[in-house]
Amino acid sequence: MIFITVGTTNFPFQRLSNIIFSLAQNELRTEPLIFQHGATKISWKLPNVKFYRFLAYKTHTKFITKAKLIISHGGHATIYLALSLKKNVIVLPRQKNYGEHVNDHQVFFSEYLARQNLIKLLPQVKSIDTFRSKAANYTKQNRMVAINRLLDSYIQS
Amino acid sequence: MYIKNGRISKWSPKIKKNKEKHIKLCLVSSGGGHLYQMMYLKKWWKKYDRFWISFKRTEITSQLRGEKKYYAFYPESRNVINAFKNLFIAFKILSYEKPDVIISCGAGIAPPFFYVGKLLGSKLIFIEPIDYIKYPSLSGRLVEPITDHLLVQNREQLQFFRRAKYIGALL
Repeated sequence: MIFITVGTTNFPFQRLSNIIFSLAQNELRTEPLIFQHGATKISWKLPNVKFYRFLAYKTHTKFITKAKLIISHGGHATIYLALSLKKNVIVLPRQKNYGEHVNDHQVFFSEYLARQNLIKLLPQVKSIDTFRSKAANYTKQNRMVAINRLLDSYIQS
Repeated sequence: MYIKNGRISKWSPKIKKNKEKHIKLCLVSSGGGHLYQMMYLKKWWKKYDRFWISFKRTEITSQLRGEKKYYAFYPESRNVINAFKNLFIAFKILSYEKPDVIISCGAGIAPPFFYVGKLLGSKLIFIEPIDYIKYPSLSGRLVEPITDHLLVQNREQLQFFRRAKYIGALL
């Protein structure tokens, strides 16, 4: 199963929807796809694609856990969650000039992660069905104790 | 002396003496990744009396089940009208709840509540979202002059703020 997500922001992401429409009919026609489409209007229907508008937190985590590949907008929560579960992530960042977000911070952030070989950018992936990357070398650092102490010191002073 | 079952009683209810000063938090968050970052801090904030300010959306209401929450006007991103409306409800909520600390990881919901919170004397903590590495977020820039503690998750972000502290990635 491949999980596709556009995030929860109120801007549509038509470009990714069109790409998925094309992939779902060609390379990925035998693959079950789950497409969380948020604020993007979907005008097409295919038998191997299941649609959700917004997902509850547990469902979102469940889909990422079960997917063999995640195709995402440049949202940091999805990406880091997928990386911490050692998943392959392909990112198409939202761009301001297509009306997909307020600015281009996703573009810079995804390029930053791609440079560290943590994710791949969608335009650079030659074929999705044979996509294999090295298991992302991301170790989640547990800073909870230190941050806990710091925040307590701020509010109790 | 107090009244129970219509009778005046000499026994007074046992009042728990708090050794620590009672602190109330106001957690302000947009949905999506910003809320995920706040949830990462759960072990910290669950010790305190608190309430949330967020939006009425599927993923938010499911994650904040059981929490005390108020809903702000949405969409908030680059929306001046909703920013003013949120300023108005910020006065109503914050003057009623009187939180000691207001904390946020963004996004656009934060500035109205931070400015009103400053006027009403709350301590302010802002955590810059991790993905703004080329330039600071608009919320970060708007709250920087008034926030008591501004925390960043990437070292690259330190250059954008005068008094920021690096804490590392939350996610």
